[in-house]
Amino acid sequence: MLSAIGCNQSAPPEFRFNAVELRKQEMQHLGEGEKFDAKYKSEIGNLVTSLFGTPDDPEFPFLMGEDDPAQDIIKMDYLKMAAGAVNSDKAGPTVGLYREHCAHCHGITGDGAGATASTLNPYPRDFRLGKFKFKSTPLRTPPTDHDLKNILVRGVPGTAMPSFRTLEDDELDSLVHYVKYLTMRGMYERYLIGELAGLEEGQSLIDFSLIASKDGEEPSDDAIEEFEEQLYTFIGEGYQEGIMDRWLDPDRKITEIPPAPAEIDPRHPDHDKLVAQGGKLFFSKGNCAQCHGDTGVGDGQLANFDDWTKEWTNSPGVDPFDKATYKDFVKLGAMDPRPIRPRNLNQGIYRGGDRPDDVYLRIANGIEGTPMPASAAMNSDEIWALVAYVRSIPFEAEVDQNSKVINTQQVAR
Amino acid sequence: MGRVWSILFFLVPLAAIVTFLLAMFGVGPLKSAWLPESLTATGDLIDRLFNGIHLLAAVILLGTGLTIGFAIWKFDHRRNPNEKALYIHHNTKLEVVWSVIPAIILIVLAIVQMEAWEQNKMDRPTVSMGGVEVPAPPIVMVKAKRFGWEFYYAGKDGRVETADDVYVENLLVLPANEDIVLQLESRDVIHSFFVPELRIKQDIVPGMTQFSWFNSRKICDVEIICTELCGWGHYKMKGLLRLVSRQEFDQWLEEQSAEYLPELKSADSEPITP
Amino acid sequence: MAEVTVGQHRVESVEGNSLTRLLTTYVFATDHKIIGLQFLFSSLIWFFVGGLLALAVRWQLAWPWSDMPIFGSALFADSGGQISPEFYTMLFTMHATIMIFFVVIPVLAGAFGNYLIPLMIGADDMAFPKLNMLSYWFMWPAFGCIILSFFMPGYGASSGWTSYPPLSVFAGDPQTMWILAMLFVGVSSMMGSINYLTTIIQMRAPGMSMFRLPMTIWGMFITAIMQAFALPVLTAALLMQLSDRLIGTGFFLPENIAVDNAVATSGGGQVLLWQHLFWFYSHPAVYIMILPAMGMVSDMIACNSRKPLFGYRPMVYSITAIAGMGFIVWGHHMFVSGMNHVLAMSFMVSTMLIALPSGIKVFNWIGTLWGGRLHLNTAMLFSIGFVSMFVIGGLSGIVMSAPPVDIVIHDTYYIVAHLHYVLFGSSVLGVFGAIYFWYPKMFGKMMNETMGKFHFVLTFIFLNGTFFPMHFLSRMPRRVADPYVYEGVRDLLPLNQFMTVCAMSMGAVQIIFIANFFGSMIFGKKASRNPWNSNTLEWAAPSPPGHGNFDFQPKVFRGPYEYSHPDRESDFFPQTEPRENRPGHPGIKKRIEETEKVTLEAQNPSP
Repeated sequence: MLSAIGCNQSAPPEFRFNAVELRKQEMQHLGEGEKFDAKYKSEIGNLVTSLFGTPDDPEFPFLMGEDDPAQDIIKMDYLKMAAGAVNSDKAGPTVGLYREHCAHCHGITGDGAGATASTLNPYPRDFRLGKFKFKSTPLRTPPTDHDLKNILVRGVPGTAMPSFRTLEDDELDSLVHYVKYLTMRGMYERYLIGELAGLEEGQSLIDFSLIASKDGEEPSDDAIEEFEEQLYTFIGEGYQEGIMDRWLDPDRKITEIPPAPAEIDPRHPDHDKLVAQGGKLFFSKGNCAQCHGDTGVGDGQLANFDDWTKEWTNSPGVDPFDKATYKDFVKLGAMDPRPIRPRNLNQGIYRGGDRPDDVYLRIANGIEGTPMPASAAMNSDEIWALVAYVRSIPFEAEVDQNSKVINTQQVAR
Repeated sequence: MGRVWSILFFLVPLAAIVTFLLAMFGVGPLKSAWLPESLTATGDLIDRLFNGIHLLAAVILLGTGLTIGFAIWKFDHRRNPNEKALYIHHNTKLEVVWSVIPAIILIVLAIVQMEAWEQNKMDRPTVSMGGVEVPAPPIVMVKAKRFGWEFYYAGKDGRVETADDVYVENLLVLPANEDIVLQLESRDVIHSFFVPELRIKQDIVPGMTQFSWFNSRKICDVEIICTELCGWGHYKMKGLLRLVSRQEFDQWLEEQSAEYLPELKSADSEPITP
Repeated sequence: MAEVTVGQHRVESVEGNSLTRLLTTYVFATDHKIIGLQFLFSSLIWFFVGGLLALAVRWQLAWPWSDMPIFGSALFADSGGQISPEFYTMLFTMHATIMIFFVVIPVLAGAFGNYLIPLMIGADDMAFPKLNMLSYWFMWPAFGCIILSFFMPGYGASSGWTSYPPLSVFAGDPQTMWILAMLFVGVSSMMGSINYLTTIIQMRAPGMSMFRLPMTIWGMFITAIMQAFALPVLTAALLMQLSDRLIGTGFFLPENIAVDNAVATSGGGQVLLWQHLFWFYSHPAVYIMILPAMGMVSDMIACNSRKPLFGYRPMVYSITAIAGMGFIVWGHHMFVSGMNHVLAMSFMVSTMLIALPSGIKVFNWIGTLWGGRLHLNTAMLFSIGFVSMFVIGGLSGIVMSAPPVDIVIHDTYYIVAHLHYVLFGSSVLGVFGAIYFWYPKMFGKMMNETMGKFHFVLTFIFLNGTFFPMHFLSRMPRRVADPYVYEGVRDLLPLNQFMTVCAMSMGAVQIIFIANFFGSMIFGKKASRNPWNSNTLEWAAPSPPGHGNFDFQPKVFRGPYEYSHPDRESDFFPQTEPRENRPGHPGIKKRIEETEKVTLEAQNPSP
């Protein structure tokens, strides 16, 4: 019996190829029913693997020397801690944190399609788009490490994302780094797939045969030059400038939060005035009621989708409300589209945090990847008024504490 | 063969008692088995019951187990080939004895344990309010959800479920050495609030408000465990309960409130007169 | 199997070609023995499935998130064989569901109840043979639902076998299949229980008074009563939960809750209501799962001790008491559920008191052993194993019946230890014993004793190795995919690995049983009518009995436990044997002689 168990070992997990993106590119750029050459799939896979390694053995580009720029984004020690198989039953250094805590939902690849994902609402985040909702930086700017860690510590209320506060500090850091690693890996893979449409028939992205010695002859200078050109295009421009540089030192772009007015305190005598002012803005300048609804229950608009869905439902011929048009994508690993609901503000659940500062950031910066826009039209005072109003909505019809139904035992006493 | 089998059955109570003693005194692989050190007076009471009933059980197990083993040893038909078994249908006296004695033991047991239950679940601490003893108000509202714990501290107004609540996720900081009352509610499914060291466990039922209370004698960090299946992420519902001194608690709560209240964050704002 | 059981079946009443005959005799059979065997075989198959699920659970607890054999590589190849947490919740949910509803209840009430009741009371079949057939075939929609649910998203129901709402109401589609399966199982059990009650009351052989019934029949009788009273409640509750899931009724859903952002619109329900209804069935079900085994063990112990069962009437009264009190103790599952805390006290008292009849039974079994002439065959060893394990299970039951103690051990592995000592240590060992004991009657062949003894000793050792350490895990919450996230539990990992190794060995040991079970059908020694020299009626019938059971009209002259009667040379005195030479009964001698003549002619046909 034990030998039967021994024979049954599974192969080590691999990163899953972004087949949805490939399909989308095919639909956008090729004719009906046409497909890219199958060789590109393995070519992209090899290229990404050579830069980023495998789930058990991660690597990161530009991380070799002390001065390499990627040192500021990724620490290899942290990656090693988060990667690999879980070893909670073995003594020794902690490894495999990502697969212990995250992979069920977010998937080995960070594509938000782990084994548990389809049962969740909202779906787990797909890191490969490089978009993060709750952060202190403006739209289209990568989040800071602190933002990511904050999500791990606090969780995302109202979703299945739990809080990992009880993990050790370095464990949290390692997970933050692994998330960034998966993000950049996924972004780069998407970028490469996106480049396929621009290639000529039969051309490779990076053609290693150019520098291979043929029949004992050294490759020609032209060939080497062309190879370097390819390297420059697809790694230098595509990865380093297009993806990595955006993540370098994002601290510079953190949104400044001006001090809140004293009236934000619910016990301040003028608090109600601030709330009233915010209430007006909610319907007028802020234009919040359009989506969140007049009573803030989130019934204003119900047929929009988030960017992770739109990402592929925007392909020609796909209608997210018609299963027949998108079932190919679901087969390839995309999640069944679900409309994004504007938040119900009556619940008192704030996914990005409930402190005034958190709500301020959501209103001022908008929420990346969702229809929630940044408020360009309002100044900081108006935003604070709106924050006060939004935070007061759950308590508008405050009930008497003593009238609650409690354990009959307590009533009897 | 009868002897071999009797040894097997002798081993049952003996092995059980040995492991039982190992666990009770925390030896070897059973070091951290059973219950962690109790931090409350009610917990001590529960521990005494736990150990007491187990000792009683051990005596009964030893008695019955050894009798079974001995019967197999002695009454194997191969050892007594020429004798018939006893022809006895019943013995009323014996039946009465082994019904009445356990009954008395069980009734005593039932009465003895009521005290611990009352302390743990029925006698909520009281505070004097205008000369009247009223149930102590909760210091924190615990909202259990899939998959985590939300803790809402009463803000400056001293009441939970108001706009100035201080919200902390998965971290519960509470003062030791005083009566603490928690208000337990659920956002979605049934959860259960279990702190082994404090010997409190209460299912949190959606649609109902429960209360739980304790008085820890020690300053330390303990774990909050969810002990009711709440879905796939049941195992992720681990919370941290940090028992600190009153002073440290006040300071911590102040820091948390500062996140919510501008006058504590920026010193230059005007003071508030409520 | 066909050839073995064909044996002495008389099928002359069946018309049509051989295929129809085969179908009506062995598939859609109305003969209680065939139906009993059908229950036995399907239970054994599900026992294998349930055991496999249990081993998967144990694997995850010993080597969490590592590459799980069979399940991991088949279903989670993407993640290197690491299972997902909801798969784990499915594993323990389905393990419990299958073991309780597809194995223990059907094998006790369905297999042995069906097979033994008519034989032991001297009837030629059940009172309602077609209803009996229907009760087996209502298991199949349940099997179908569960099998189907394994292929649905989530690979099966995952809300625990208790199916507590709101979790179960918001769970995925397999949960609907689970509820349907439970409904079918309930209908099947209901039909069975009505049949057993009618049969036992109406169809006893002449002379078989209620207090001459063997304990097995008493166990089945009381079980049938409990099922008849408890099952309607479960059925109603299941229908309510089904409508909560499908048409949004909200019997069990309060207002303002949302699971995965799916909001319950109706509200106005009570979560605890389900728990009350569920445990009102499921606590009696605990006794449904043990009383028949207790009865069979009583018979096996008395027969193999060659001694009258000690305290027959107290035994009968105590199972009756267990059944009666079994209906008023369900609240002990809910001590910390938020139920009224004063109510907990009264449930505590009734729970403590139910320990009393259980204790009386144990003392009487020991009393039966004492002074006997023990034949330590496999059936006897399993029976004594039953008693010895039941003592442990019963004692841990007393520990947790104390509500303050239950506060700390509720929903921890202590509970798991307790329920496995009762369900596996007792019921399943009892079933194994019963299979070894009645196999000669069922198949006309003897099982291999040496293999049986190996099977017993290894099962017994590994069962204790698996479940006894669980008593010490009273800080390890159950139903948790990775308990080691909790610091306090981390030290207990080696102990868990030890338990898993034991559990796997126990699983492997069952191969001996399977080999013995099927091997003996072919290679077993031919069994005589009464290989154990037992008194009860079934042993007066041929082995295996043909259609109609008895080749004579059985008449009963005495109770089932007249072993080692001092006035007799042989150490047993079958119930059918018409010689009443007890002093003080000369008046009835004539009547006895009359019946004797008739019965002897039928019983000993000239060769």
